[in-house]
Amino acid sequence: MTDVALSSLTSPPAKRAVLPDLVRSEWSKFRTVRSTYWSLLAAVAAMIGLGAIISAAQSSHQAAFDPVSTSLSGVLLAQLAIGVLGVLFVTSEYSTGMIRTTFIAAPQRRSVIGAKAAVFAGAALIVGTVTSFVTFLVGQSVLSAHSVSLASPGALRSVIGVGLYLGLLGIFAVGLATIIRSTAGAIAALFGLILVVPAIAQALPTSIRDSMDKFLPGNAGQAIFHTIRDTSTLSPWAGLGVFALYAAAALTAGLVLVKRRDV
Amino acid sequence: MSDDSPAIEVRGLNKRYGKTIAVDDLSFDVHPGQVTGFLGPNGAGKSTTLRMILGLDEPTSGSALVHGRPFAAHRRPLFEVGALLDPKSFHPGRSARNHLSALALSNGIDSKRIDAALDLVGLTSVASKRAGGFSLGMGQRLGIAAALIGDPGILILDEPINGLDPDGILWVRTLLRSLASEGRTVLVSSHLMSEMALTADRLVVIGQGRLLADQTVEAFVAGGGRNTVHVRSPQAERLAVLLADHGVSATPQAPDVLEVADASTDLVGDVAAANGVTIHELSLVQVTLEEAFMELTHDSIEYRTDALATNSPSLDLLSEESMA
Repeated sequence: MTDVALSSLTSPPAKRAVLPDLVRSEWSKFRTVRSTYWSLLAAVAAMIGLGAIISAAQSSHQAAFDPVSTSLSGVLLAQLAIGVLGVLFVTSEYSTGMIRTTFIAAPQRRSVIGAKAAVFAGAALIVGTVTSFVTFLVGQSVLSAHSVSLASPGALRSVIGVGLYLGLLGIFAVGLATIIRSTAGAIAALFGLILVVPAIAQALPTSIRDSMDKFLPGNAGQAIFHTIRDTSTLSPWAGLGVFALYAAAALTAGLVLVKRRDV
Repeated sequence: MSDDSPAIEVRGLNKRYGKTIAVDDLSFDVHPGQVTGFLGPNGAGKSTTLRMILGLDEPTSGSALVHGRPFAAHRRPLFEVGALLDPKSFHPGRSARNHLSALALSNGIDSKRIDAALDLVGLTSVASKRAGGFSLGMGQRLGIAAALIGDPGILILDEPINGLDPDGILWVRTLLRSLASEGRTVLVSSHLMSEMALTADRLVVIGQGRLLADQTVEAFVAGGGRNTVHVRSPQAERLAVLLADHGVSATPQAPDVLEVADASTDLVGDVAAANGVTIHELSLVQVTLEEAFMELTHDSIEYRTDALATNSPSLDLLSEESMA
C-alpha cells in the first residue's frame, strides 16, 4: 500500500475532442447512482399505470373525449419524476461537493453542463418514447370500444410527442438546476413554471388569460399530445417549439452563469 | 520543462468577498521535486488560494499559473494536476470505482489506472461499495486516488491528513515524500506546523491572506524566532544590569529567573563568572517550529488563545477547518 509505483506513465490522447469524453463521463455518472433507476421506474409506472386508470374511467363515460391524449395522460405524473431526476443530476453535484471534482477534471464548464443536458435529454427522450408507445397500446386496449389505432389522425404524433416533451423537459430541468444550484429551489422553479403558474393565471381577467395561457411552458409543450384542439391552445408543433424555447433559454442562462460563478 | 522552473506561479493574487479580503496580494512559486507546505491558521485564505490556482474561484486581481498557463486553459488537466480539496467531494451514492471511472472517462484516461489508483490507496476491497458509507479517512483516500488517477506531475492537497488516524497520517506523509522524490510538485496545505516540519521541504506561510514567509524549513526555524537563554541565579537583578552593559536584554520571569533574548549560554556564563555572580541554572531554550510559526502568525490570527481561554469548551470546534 505504501509502495508508490505509478509506473505506466500515462499521456493524454492527442488531439481528440474533449466533448465526447465529457458525454461519456456524464453518462457514466448518470447510470451509476440508484436514484436514476428509481426515478425512471417511477416515471414508467406512473405513465403506464395512470394512463390505464384514466382510460378505464373515461371508457365508462358517454361524452366525447380524446382517446389518444386520455391514454397518454399519465405523462402529467411521469414528468414529475423526470423533472426531479434532471434537477438532481446537476444539484446533487453542488450539494455533495462533487462539482469541484468535476470542474477540476474538466475546466470547460459549459461543455460539462452541455454534456449533462445531452445525456439527460437523450435518456428522457428514449425512455419517454418507448414508454409512450407501451402506454398508448395499454390505454387503447383498456378503452376497447372507444379505442383508436396509431394510424388515426394525430395519434402517432402524440405518442412521439410525449417522448419529445419529456426530452425537452429534461433540458429545461438541467438548465434551471444549473442556474439555481439548490435541489429544492430548482424543483420549485421547474414545477412552479409548469404547474403553478397556469393555476395562478386562472385568476387573471379572461381577456389577458386567453392570450397568455397558451404560451405558458406546460400548456405550450403539452399541445403536442392532444388530438382535439380548441382555440385556447397552440398548434401541436408550434406549442412544442415554444416549449423548446423555454428549455433553450434556461440552458443558455445556466451556461452563462456557470462560467462566471465561483464553485 | 526544466527542473528549476516553477510548476505553479502565484502572482499578486487577490480575492475579496465584498469588504472582506480573503487573499491579499499573494505571490509565491512552487517547484518540482519538493513538498511545499502551505501553512496558515484557520481562515488565513489557504483554501481560497488553492481554489483560485485550480480555476474554481476567479481572482479579484492577479494570476495563478500552472505549468505556465491558467488552470482553465488545460484541456485534460488530470494528466497534469491532481487535487484533493474536500474529504468528501464525491457523490455518496456512487461506488469508489465508478467515481474514479467517471473522472477517468472525462479526461480519456486508460481504465487500467482506476485499479492502480484504488490499489495505491488501499481501497480495492471496498471499491464497489457506496462511497457515502466511507469513514472520513477512507474518503480522504478516495480523494487522493482521484488526484492520482491521471498520474499528474503536480499534486495539490488541502489538509489531506484531517481526520486520519496515526497510521493514515504516516501513510500520507510517506506518499507525499515519495511523490516529490519522483520529481513531482507537491503543494500541501495544513494548519499544523508540526506535521509540515516532518513532511515539507519548503514552507509558504500566510496569515490573513498575506504572505508571511516563503523559505526552507531550516531557514524558517532559524529565522522565525530568537533563541533565548534561561538563567536562574540568586543575584538575578545584578546579572540583568551586567548583561545590559553588554547590550543584551534580560527579562525577569521570577525573583531569581531571567530570560535572556538573543544571547548564547557562553556569553551569559562568561559575564557571570567575570563578575562573580553565582549561577544555579543556565540553559538554552530553542525555538521549536511550532513556536516560530506561532510567533509569525500571532498578529494575523483572527482569534487569540487568551480570548479563548474563557471559552475553552469551543476549542475543539475551532480546530476544524471551516469549509468554504
